[in-house]
Amino acid sequence: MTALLEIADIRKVFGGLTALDGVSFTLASGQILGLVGPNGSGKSTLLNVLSGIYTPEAGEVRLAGQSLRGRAPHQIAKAGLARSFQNQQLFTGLSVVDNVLVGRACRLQAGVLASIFGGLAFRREEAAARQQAVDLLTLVGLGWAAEAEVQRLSYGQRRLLEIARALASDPKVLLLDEPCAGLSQAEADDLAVVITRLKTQGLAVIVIEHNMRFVMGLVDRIVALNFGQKIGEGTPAEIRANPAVVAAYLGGSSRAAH
Amino acid sequence: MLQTLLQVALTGATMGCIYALVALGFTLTIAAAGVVNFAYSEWVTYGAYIGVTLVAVLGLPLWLGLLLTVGLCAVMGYAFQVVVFAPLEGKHFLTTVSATIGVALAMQAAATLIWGPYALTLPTFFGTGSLTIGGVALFPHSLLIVGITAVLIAGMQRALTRTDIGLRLQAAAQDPVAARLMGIPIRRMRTLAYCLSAALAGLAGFMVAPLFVVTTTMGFGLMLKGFAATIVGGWGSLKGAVLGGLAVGLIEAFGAAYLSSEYKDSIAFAMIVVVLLLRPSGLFPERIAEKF
Amino acid sequence: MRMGAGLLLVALALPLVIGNNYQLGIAHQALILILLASGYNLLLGFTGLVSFGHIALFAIGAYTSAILVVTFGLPFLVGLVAAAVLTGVVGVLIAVPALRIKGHYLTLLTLALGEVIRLAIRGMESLTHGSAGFSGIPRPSLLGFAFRTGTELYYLLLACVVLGVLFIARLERSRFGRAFKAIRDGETAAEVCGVDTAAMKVLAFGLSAVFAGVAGGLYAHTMRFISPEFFSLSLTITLLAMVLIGGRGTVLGPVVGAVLLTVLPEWLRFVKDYYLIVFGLAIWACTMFLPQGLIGLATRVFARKGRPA
Repeated sequence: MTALLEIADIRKVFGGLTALDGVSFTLASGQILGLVGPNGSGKSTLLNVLSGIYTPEAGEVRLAGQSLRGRAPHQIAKAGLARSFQNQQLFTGLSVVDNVLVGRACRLQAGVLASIFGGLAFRREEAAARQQAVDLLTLVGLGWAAEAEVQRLSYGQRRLLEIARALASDPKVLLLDEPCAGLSQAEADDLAVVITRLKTQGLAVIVIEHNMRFVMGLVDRIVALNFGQKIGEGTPAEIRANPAVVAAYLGGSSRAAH
Repeated sequence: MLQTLLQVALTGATMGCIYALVALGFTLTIAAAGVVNFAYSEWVTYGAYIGVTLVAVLGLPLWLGLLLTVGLCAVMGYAFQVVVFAPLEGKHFLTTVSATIGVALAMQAAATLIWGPYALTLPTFFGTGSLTIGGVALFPHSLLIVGITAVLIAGMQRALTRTDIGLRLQAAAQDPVAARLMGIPIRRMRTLAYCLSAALAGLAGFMVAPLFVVTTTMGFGLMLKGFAATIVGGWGSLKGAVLGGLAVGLIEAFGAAYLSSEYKDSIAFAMIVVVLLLRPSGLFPERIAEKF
Repeated sequence: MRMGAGLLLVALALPLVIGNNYQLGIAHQALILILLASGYNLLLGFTGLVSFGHIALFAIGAYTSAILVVTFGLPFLVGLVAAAVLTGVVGVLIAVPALRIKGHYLTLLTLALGEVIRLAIRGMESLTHGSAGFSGIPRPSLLGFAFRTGTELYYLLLACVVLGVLFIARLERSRFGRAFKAIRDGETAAEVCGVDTAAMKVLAFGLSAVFAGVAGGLYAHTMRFISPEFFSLSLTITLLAMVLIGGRGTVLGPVVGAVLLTVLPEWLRFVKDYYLIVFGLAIWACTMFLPQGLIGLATRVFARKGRPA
């Protein structure tokens, strides 16, 4: 299995605080990796580095052999890396299906003039994108809400919308930041099924999640962080037995896993 | 010529102090409540008009007129907090800006109705005489402006850093959530900030009125200079507002005297453009809590 | 869509109903301002970029066309196209610093730039005649046909407006419209979704500037006299109000807003200062209670009516 995503020695510093200190791991196509650690351990920061929102002080990120270092977020999206956010960032002025269509932005080609005059190429591209968007919404269980306003969705449904939006660009790697927050256990189970299905199609996933039942049942491997450093890597069973990880959760941090 | 230089410098310093007062009041609401108050221009205008009414129409002595003007403006600030700003809390920048613009427009038109379309005047404390020292004409009113500004700023610094209420105000500005958890009444602190801000506006209006005529648009022009001062000095920084105001006043005076008086108005705008393009955070970017 | 068609029908029939030239003149102004407000809405309402210097672009368009046609004797169409292109270029130039300057800084930067441009126009007296104003601008003429009467001019302006509004309507339904709104609602998320936010912002500035340039050129040839005093900050406020009261982020909002705020001051001219008070309060009330403007209100009312009890 060749590595699809290689993360090497990522170092991110904010003023006096070292948020990430030499984090390295790889991810292969069709693998699901869980990223765990107490609050403040650097998980979201790592996702921000991967998606290009932060530039690391040191280290390398390679997707399918291409370096992503220093690239703008929209270029990284085009290269095949998509993500959802922990604090929801949906486009509240757009309909549900339009939100998903924005996720398709990097694959759409029509120019301004083509869009205005509405030629055949434009209409075909829009129709195909729209169909894909509706399909993705159906996949996550929101097919009924396509034309609705985002405000009408519940918190959990909005999370699912974010994921549908992230999938719209046909990514190779999907980053999920606490996708289960606000979902009922049933919804979380449904989401796990969806992700497993996508895994068989070759999608690689990094998921940050505190819902241990979701994580343990879904992921192939886990990377554990604490204070910006990798303190453990392995299968769920190995991580559960790893004393450093146990200490990080039960010893210092106040947040207990569900 | 040294005399001209000093004369220009004095003019610049005087206007600089007025701009500093305007910018200071304007920045108070930014620092304390995160609100950009586009109706500030009308607070200044109304300060001038109220002053004129008290002194020229009702015949009150100037010092009493000044105190009452400042007091009434503080009341106006309170009214604004209740009617305009409280409902706007937490809203988007464009909403606050548009709302305050609307209020400003209504106030400006109301001023025309109340005080008429013609310019009014306010006399200085010292009549029209001036001292001449070494060939430089010194208007006592200018010196008064500079003096009052200096005293005020020193007083504010002491009040903010040494008194209980000053520290609470700073806390409310820096971190409202933490302040609230510590029992500091945020709403009340913000109200205080608005009252102070309006009082400063009234003072500025009253002090600048004798230098020019009082019209319904005078506050707007001053607020624009206030924008320039806050940008140059550092947005949200009280020290920056003061130093920025002085900088704008001096550069404007020298520019008008030595470059071109026709383009005087554009100097402040040009300063905004230059600073934003080169160093957007301004010359002294600090928040209300630090150092000042 | 139905609302738009309805408005168009009314607009087509209007000159038949209006008798005198003075009222037609008001209609001319309204049409030109619809074009200006629509372009501004693209920047402010769709993309969320709060620019307070847009009137300067309007001025550049007006003066470019006036100078090319009157001073250099070029045909109207050349003047208009040049106005559009030059203003568009200026818009793109303004976009560049706007990429790294955000929020209230952008608003003040555009405010200051707008004033600097206006004062520069006033200063270039040999070219623009400065404060005295530029007079003697001829009516538009295409291929030898001069739009001399009020009615002919009205239909020319209406044609331009229809094209402009259609342009924006089509753009709204494309990836560009979605990208603009995404930038407004969540710039970081838009970037992460693959939207090239920098390119889109430049496009938004450029397109809105082109609209302003065309509107400016049309204004110069309609009013036949322009001066720097007209392109003032108070016009900026009026433009802002048109978009906000009409309904920002909608296609028809600027149309409604521009018509309302051109016609109302005329009807209420005899109570001018009271009008201004009401105007100011209306802006305030609109931002507090009707964030989607009148179009938003109408949409909600019609939506509710459509649903069975």
